[in-house]
Amino acid sequence: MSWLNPSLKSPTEIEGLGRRWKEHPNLRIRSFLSENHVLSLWTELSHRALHFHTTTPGNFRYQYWADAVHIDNEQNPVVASFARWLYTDALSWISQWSEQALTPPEDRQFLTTLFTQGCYLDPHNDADGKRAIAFVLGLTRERWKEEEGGCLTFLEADDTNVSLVERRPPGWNTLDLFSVHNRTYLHEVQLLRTDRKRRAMAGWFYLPP
Amino acid sequence: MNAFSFLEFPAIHPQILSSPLATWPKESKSMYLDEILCPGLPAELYHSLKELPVQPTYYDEGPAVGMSWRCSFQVPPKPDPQHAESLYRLHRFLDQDLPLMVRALTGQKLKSTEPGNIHLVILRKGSFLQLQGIGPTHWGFLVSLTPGEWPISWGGQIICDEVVHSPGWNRLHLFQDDCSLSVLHKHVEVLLVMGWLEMEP
Repeated sequence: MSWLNPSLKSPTEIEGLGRRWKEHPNLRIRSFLSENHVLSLWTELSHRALHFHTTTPGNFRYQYWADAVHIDNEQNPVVASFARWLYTDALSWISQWSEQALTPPEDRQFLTTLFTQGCYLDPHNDADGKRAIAFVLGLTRERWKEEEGGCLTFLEADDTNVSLVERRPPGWNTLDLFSVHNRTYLHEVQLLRTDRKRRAMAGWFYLPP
Repeated sequence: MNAFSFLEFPAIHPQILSSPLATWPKESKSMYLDEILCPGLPAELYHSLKELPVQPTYYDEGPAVGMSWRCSFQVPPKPDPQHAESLYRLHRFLDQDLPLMVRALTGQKLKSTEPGNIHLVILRKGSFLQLQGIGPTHWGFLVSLTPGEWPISWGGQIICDEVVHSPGWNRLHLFQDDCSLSVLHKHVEVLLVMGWLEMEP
């Protein structure tokens, strides 16, 4: 089963994505999945029990709800089907236009996440020497004002300043992809200040061993 | 000499006891008082309470909805010098001095809903609380032990009866209607002791 929005398979689209990636390996793809598939995925995820994660002072700080999706051992059928597709066909599709050889994670997992009021993810760059590209599949149906928080925000730091480069609001059926290897991007999810639900799936595609 | 003779004296600030509490309007549903605890006790408590093992808690129903870091405990019923003196004094404040003070304010005979229990609440980045369902027979209270200046942009404000206060040092908040603590935006901490008083039958 192909989950990809058919319009993203055309040679013109693939060429365009490749060009954008070469210029700036950090982009948002809109209408990533076929609409019926993304709805099925969202419906199944919205019934899933997630665990609350938070950290103590002195550590890298975050607070959100999450659950691991095991690529080979996922119990929910729609999520299982998506996970298998993501790390096979989707991975090949991204490899094709990014000209980057990619493999699934060694632990065969990624995360489904939910940010509610008070959730945040502090600035970090994801680099660990093995990860190649980070992905965030936006599954947020609501829209809200930027000042309410919950945006994926990219920052730039030099010797004296940290400046905001780009702020991406929570998306519906969006795929954010950014390099976490040769070129890295400092990013955060800003504190969600209001009673909203920001749902996503997130993980990394890895460099071949 | 009794090493626990300090418990014979109120832990409430003498200034509060000598102030004209009776002038407080009895129909008020919320109030705050600064300099609530005896001189020195807030600093001792701050250092004792900061060491306690708080756990992240998230409630979406009940009297305190929201996310905070909490620790609930009891001081031993008999004086035990292995435990901090300040905790015994806090215990006395919560179970004896505070109900008497609120009685002087409201004319209501009150007692702690959980005698002997102390509920420590710490707000960290992303914490918020909505304290609900207090009702006419109960009073909620927060003792704020948060030092330093507190810009409003940090969040973590205490909002009772539509009046907004930044977390303070040695400040008591009393409320009968809903009270909320707004989302804390910064990596700072608000330290509170929380509890409820109820009317005696």
